[in-house]
Amino acid sequence: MWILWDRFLLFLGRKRKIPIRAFKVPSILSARFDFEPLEEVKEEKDEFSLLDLPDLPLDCILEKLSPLELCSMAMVCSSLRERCKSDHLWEKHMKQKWGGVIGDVAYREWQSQLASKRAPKFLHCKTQSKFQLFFGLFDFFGFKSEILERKNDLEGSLQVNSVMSLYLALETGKFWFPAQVFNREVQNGHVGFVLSCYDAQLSYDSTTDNFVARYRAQGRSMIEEEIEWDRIRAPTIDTPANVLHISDCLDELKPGDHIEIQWRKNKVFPYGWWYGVVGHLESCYANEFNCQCHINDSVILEFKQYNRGSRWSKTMISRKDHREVGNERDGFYGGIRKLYKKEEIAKWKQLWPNCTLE
Amino acid sequence: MVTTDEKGPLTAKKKSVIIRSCDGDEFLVSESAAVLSTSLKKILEEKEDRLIHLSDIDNKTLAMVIAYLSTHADDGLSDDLKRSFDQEFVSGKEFDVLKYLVLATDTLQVTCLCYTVAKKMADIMKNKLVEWVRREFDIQNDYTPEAEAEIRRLDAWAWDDRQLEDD
Repeated sequence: MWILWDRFLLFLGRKRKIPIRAFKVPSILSARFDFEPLEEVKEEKDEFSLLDLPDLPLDCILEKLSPLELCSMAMVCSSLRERCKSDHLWEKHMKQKWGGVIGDVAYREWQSQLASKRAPKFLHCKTQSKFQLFFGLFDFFGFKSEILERKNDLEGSLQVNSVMSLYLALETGKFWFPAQVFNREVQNGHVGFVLSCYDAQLSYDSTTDNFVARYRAQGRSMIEEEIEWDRIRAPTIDTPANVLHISDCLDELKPGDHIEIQWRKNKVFPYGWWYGVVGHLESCYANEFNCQCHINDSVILEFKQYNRGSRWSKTMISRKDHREVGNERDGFYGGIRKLYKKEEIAKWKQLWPNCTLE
Repeated sequence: MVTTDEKGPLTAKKKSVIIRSCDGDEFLVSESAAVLSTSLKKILEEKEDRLIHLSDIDNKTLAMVIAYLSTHADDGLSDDLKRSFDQEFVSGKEFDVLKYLVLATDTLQVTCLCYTVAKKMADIMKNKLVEWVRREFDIQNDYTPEAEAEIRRLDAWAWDDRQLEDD
């Protein structure tokens, strides 16, 4: 009988495009069952607060909110603020927006900036609870807050070392982070840096959605503005710009490989990374069947953005004991990175100039 | 009893359970639908009773959850159809209704419905004024006026150029 009823309902349901098969049991039918006595029936719904929601639904809701919306929610009350600044909510946003340009070096820089700032202060709420303390982020940012100043005798220290604080510091442009810029100063009209990538300190401008870069050379500071996202990357290796990278790919270099090599104009300038490919030696004639270039001690590196006759168009390095080579006229070639990832190679090709350079 | 089930009426009867809401209404649900709720599954594993009484879910909310479970338990429906059911399921529902629905999904441990409802709630909460959230969720503002003004001033990044709604 029950099955029949169920199937009847199912049949009715299938007539519709989207069946709904939740049906109240008719009281006559349900009377046939020996039901347990009803427990206490809750007659009224109590108003409940968002904060009364169990962790899972509340987190599900907060996870769906954008950074701006999380900031709005944090305004509602202090305990919601506490929830809204959880690292796990911000990590996704951090990775989504900043993952490609914020690397380990930037994180370390952030940590050291935090460590060098004085301990953050508190802001009190009407009620006293450790969750109802205003987070000290703004103090970190260097905002002059009278309220913060007045409340600076309050207990404990507050974690500003949160993903949210880093996100906001980046978004507001307060944090100048270390990263690398492709085709440096092209915006200033220079072509001298085409197909290179230089270290810089960068600050984001959320109104224009691009960056300002500060390059340091010989104690001077160069500024470039309006740098788009696609000209920035997180440093690919840990070697600082003034240190020679120890090449670990020399033995395997063969014609056709894509590489980046450190180069600097003179020994007081920082290195930049320059894109090139491994070419064939003159004696080889690029014959793929007889080619011995991959076992020769000399390796030719070609920079095809330059005219064939240009002094920048190629250089030769020693496979066995390559360190820094060069002179004051042609500059100095440093460590080499072989590019293995297709994306990295595609990135360089995307930056290729419209015409070859002198 | 007329049934095409070869295993006979006894087995067939076991395939349904009755779920009673806190206000006494009873719902006949196939067991395959009921076990999509982790909580109901546990109860059914632990006791033989075919009647489950839920003391903190009202009839309207329970009817919605059961409709959801039944649809998702139906092997005859494609995933696409189930997805469009999910969309239709939450569309147009009052925020107040969703609040109780999301609570019920937590009690009954129906995670996929919890995500669906939470997403809808988040969509509604987007671009709402802080005051709207406080009112809808009965949240007391515990900031002092000066603290609130200060946060607003400092959070200017999050407040500029945004059209916020109060309804």
